[in-house]
This record gives sequence, C-alpha cells and structure tokens, in this order.
Amino acid sequence: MIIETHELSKSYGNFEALHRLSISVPEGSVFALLGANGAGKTTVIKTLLNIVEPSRGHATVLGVDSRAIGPGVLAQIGYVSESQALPRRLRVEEFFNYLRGCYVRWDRRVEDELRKELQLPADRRIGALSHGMRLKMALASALPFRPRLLILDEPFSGLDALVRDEVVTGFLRQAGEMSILISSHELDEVERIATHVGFLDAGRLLFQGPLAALYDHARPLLVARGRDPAARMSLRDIVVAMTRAARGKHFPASESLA
Amino acid sequence: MIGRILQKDWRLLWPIVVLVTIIQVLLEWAAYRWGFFNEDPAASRLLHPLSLAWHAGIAALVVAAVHQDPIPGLDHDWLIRPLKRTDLLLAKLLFVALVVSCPMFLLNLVRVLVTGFPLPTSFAVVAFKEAYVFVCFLVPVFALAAITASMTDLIILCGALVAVYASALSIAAVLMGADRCPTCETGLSWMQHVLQHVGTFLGASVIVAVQYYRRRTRLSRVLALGGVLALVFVQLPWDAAFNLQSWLSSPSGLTAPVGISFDPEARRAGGASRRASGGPSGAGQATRAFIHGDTGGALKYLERRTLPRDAPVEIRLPVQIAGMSADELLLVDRSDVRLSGDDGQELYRGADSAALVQEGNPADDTARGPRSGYQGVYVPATVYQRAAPRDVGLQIDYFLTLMKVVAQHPIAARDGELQAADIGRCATKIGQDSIALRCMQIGPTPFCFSATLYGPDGRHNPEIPNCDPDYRPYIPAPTDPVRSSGVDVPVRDPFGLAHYPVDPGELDRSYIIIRIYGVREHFRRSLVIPRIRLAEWSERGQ
Repeated sequence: MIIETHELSKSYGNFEALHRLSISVPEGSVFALLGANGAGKTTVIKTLLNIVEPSRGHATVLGVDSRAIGPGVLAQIGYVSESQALPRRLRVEEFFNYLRGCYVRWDRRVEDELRKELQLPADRRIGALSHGMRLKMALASALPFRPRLLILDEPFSGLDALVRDEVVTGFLRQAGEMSILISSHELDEVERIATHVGFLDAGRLLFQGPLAALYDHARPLLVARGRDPAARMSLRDIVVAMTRAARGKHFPASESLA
Repeated sequence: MIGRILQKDWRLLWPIVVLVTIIQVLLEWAAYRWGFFNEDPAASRLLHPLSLAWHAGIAALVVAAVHQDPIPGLDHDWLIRPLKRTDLLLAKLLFVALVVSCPMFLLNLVRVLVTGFPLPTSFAVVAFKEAYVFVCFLVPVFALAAITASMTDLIILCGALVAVYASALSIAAVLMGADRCPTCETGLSWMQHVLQHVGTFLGASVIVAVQYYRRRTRLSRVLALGGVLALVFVQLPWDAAFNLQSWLSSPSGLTAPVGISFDPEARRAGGASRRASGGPSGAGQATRAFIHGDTGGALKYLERRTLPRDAPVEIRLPVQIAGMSADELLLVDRSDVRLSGDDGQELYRGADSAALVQEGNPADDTARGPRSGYQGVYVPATVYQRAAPRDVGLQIDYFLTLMKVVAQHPIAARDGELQAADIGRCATKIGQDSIALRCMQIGPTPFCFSATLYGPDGRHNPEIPNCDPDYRPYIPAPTDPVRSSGVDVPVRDPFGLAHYPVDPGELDRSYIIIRIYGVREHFRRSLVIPRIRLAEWSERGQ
C-alpha cells in the first residue's frame, strides 16, 4: 500500500474532524476521496502530508509514518490544491527556477512540455494569474520531478469545463505509473480517472474499495429509492444516495455536493 | 537549498531592501552632519524621524522575509516541498544578516572612520554592535514574525502583547510600588537590561526553534506572552545586583576607608545663613547649582520652595565624609532610610529617599581631609507630622560607589581638539556665556568626567561634573556606534550673581582640564542616629 491509515482521528476542541479512519490506497491506483463539504477529505490529506498532526491513530505514506515525513519523502510526493498559497509576487519563470533546485529528480523536459501544454506565461507574476492558471501552474510544478504519489485536493474546483479537460488531460499524460490520491467534487472527472474510491461523511469512512465495488455496494440503495436496477448509475447518483442514507432524514434534499 | 531560498527571497524583497538601505544611508549622513556641535540643524531635525523609519524598516524587512514562507497556516507552498527546516531557518537568518546587518555594518564603519576613529577599534566596535543588534533586536522580531502569517496578524499580536505589557506594568506598580524594579534608574540598571536581553534572546530562540521544527504556534504564542510578563515581573533583587557589581569591580574585596557620620556641630558653624537646616537653603542650593552649571538642579531646588503641604518633607542633616582623597568622588547608588520610635517600632521605611550632597571640590586642594556635606531625607508629610515633635531613631543604609580620577586631559578653551583612547574625540567651542565641551567616543565611554576651566595664571573656575552612573561593561546603542557626551562650562553669569576666577577675556590662553573618573569600589555604609528630633532639621519645623 502506498498510503495506509489506522484508526486515524483528528479533533479540533470538541469537534471531531476525523473519526477512526482506516484507509488503504493500493500502489498504482487512482484513489478518489469522496464526500460532501466538511466530510474531512482535506483534513485527511493534510494529515498524510504531516501538515496537521493526528489526535489519535497513525498513517504511513510511502512506508513512512506521516509524523516523520521529511524532505526525502516530500521529494516523492506531488501536491496540488485549490487553496495552495503560491508566492504571489514571483514570476512564473522565477518560481520554476526556484523549484528546480528543490528536487534532485526534476525533469526539465517534462516541465517544458507541461508549461507549453498548459500555456503558462513565463513573465507573469503568480498573483496576476487567474484561478485556473494558478491551478495549472500548481499542477505543472507537481509533476516534473516524477513523484511516486500525486495528491490532488480539489484540483478542478472553480475551473470551467475546457480548462478542467486540459488539466485532466495534462496530468493523465504525465501521470504514468504514479499513484494518485484525489479529493474532488467534480464527480464526472473523478469517474473518468478513479480506480478506487473512499467515501467519507462527517469524518467517518463509509466505504472504500474499487470503483466497480462501489457500484455494487450502492445499487441496493438506489433500487430501494425506486431506481430501475438495469439503469446506468452515475457516480453522482451514488454519492448523493449514500450521503442521504448515511444522514437519514436529516440530509436536506436540496444539499449539493459541489 | 539555502541559496535557492535566499535567491527567491531577494527577488521578492529587493525593493524593501533598497528602501531600508537608503534610509540607513540618510541616517548615517544625518548623524555625521550632526558633528560635535550640531552644525547642521536640518540634518539633526531628520535624525529622529530617520531613526524611527530605520527601526520600522528593518523590522518590516525581517518580518517580510519570514512571511515569504510563513510557519502558521496549512496552505503555504513550502510545506509540501522537500525543504529541510534547518535550511529554511538558516536561509531566513542569513537573509536578515545579509540585507540588514551587513549594510548596517559597512555604513556604520564608513561613518566611524570618516569621523576620525582608528580602523581596528572601529571594526571591533561596529562588529560587536551589529552582533548585539542581531541578537537583541532582529532575532526577537524574527520570532514574532514566525508566530504570525501576515503583517496584519503581526500588528494585532504586537498590539495585544503591548497591551498585556502595559497592564502588567500597571499591576506591578500597584502591587510592588518602588520594588517593582529595584535597579531601574541606577548605575546597576545595566544588569536588568542584560537579564532582559538575554532572556528575550533565549525566549525568541526557543520560539523560533518550536516554530520551525514543531510548528506549534499556539504554544509559541503562549511562550511570547509569558516572556512579556517575565519582562515585567522578573527583576534582579537590589542586594544581589549590588553584590555582583561589587565583586565585578573589586573581586579582591578591598574596602575603601570611607566613613559617613552625623555632624550636628556643622549647623552651628554654618551660622544664620543656613537657618535651621543642616545644609544651605533652597535658594542657596539653587545658586550653588547654577554656579556649577547645573541649571536643572537649580530649578529643582527653586521648585521645592513652592511644594504643597502634603508633599514629602525634606530633612537636612549635616554629615562629614571621611577617608576620601582629593581626587575621589562618592556616588550614592541607593540609600534606604528607616525611622523608628522610642520603642523601636518602625515608623517609616523608604528606598532612594535620601540624597547625599558633598560640598568641596575635588579640583581644589582644600578638598583634602574630611569633607562636609548634608544628607537630604524625604519623608511623607503624614509620617513627618507624627514623628517630628518627638525623638526618633534614624538609620540610613548607603550603597556607595567611590570614583577616582583615572586620567586627565587638557584641551584649549577656544576651538580645542583632543583625541584620547579613554574619552574619544573632543572639541570645544566658545559660546556667549559658556564653553561647550563635546566628545564622541566609540566603544566603552566614561560615564563620569568633569571639566574645569583654568586661566593662564593657574586660577580655575569650579569643576563641572558630568556623571550619569552606569556601571555596564559595555553595551552599545542599537542605532549608533558613536556615543556623544559633553558639558557646558560657564565663563560668565549673565545675571551678575556669580563671579568666576578666570577672566572671560583670557579665554584664548585658557584651557580646560577634563578629569575622567573610574570606579574604584562599590561598598556599603550605614549612618545611625539613635535619637534625633526631625523638626529641628527641616524648614517646615521652624
């Protein structure tokens, strides 16, 4: 397993953000963390990267305890997040120049390809880039060192369909053999790329396994709600049904996952 | 990796670096233009605002450097990059050293050299000063920046810490009164400063380490708060400070043969001019202070004449000080007064409420033998009203410093110039009623020296002392390695009250002797008067 968590919990005062989470991400898989807002997806990712310290339990990433993750492990992890705070006053070229020195395995050819493909302007300051361009830049900075593990936290948030497609295409082309952990509300994109799924609700893991198993797991739920057993199920249908089932009648019908 | 981080921070912050360096250049220029006698009023007017701007500028630069990769927060890019925390910390510290300390060092050095000080001394003094500023100012600012993520955060945090500090000071003043800071405003205050600076540096270092290696912002903020409270409440006890100072100045434990005794006969000898008190009247004291060039002291004595009825009452006791040679001077670091009734019950106890005034002039040959003086004791009006009509016991415990002339330098009264290792560079300039003597020094500076104007015939005016007790080994000022000092030596009294021996018309051939006093010893003495009636020794009692 490239990522494993054991009874991982995180509390902020009385609020329990994660409750005894045990997740296993197989090597080479594209593991999608799904769940509504506040389900705990970002907390899981921050904990795995040793940005947040767990309250109880532990996690291993690339075989190393998350609390002991240092530069050696981080050099093998690519990370892209919608909320990533990049140095706004640096120009794009300057930022890449800085990053080249951070990674021993930085591949200039991959960088050039990505920058060309994603049309990143070298002379623009990062702060002057649009949200979509900044996400593209984060992605372009997460791949040239060929990480073993790529972690994407809401990478498609706020992107229009065209840019989203460019981004997905871009990183799929470069992804190769790397393992990917992705948290996203953009279920259509996730459905295109995910091989495994973990389903979180209110900090608890409701399901994890291969994507195909999720369909089997959710089918009775949808049928019970009057769906034709033979009809095609989308990931969106499954997520909504599972969330509603988990929250019972407290789940408002109008609540959106996005 | 350190180089990469440095390069990145430089690309982001070079405009601020340039701005701060320009401010530093202007500050050095203004300080240079100040010269001995404030020759350039425009430059001198700029000194204060430039100094403020420079402090704010270097603080902002340190904060900006740290905030390029802030420690608190979950989304900063550096958190997911393979950076060694040590590399990040060293890169930031190195950046501060390169863009703040190095320009400051070079500019300070240039000004000191241009001012005329020799290179080896200048280099050592300026390097020491920059190291001191780095440790005592830049590292604490660095620590504050490390527990915040933005300038707004920092301003809010600093505001909160200042509010806590001010509240703690108020509480301490109410709870502890004068004991809040036993060494403050004495020659021993340097020990408290060193204690605070060392504590601040150690606290800041712990915070920086906790932040960079553990990222425990809440804990670090609690530590900062604790540090602020410690600055107020952790005080060096007076006895310990004085014992340490005594040991530092005279580890061999030699004891000066100085004694202080009550001399009630001096009042009779003083005659009617001294009225009922042991010393001269307020007007007399004012005149004497004025003749000695002590305008502030003269005004203080005159103000005392108009104090309200509930103001502390001054008891003036004639005393004799024995065992001092002509070239010595006695400084009172602290005096504790205790009044007790017939039954031994304590009526009053106060610290720093007694001032010993020595008469006689070390520059005079007549100063040999026991010196007369008087002891001023200030007691609260309510205590005085209870104690004045009856016999009480009075004990004054002195903490004293004996100063001795360690060097003398002559300098021409008119446009004189002098360079000496112990006092630095000095110059004189004749004004309307006095001669301005100004000195500039780098490194340790004498805190006690005097100036005496001698005429061509050997007659001299009263010695004008300039003593501001400060027994520190050497702690530089943060902005300026050059320390200025000086006195105004009066040559004529515009009101015609005082007549000086040296003829103002002979100033071209006159000269000033600068006497530098050094600490000979710190020691304690007690003056015990078993029975005394306070009413007989105060003006109010008459």
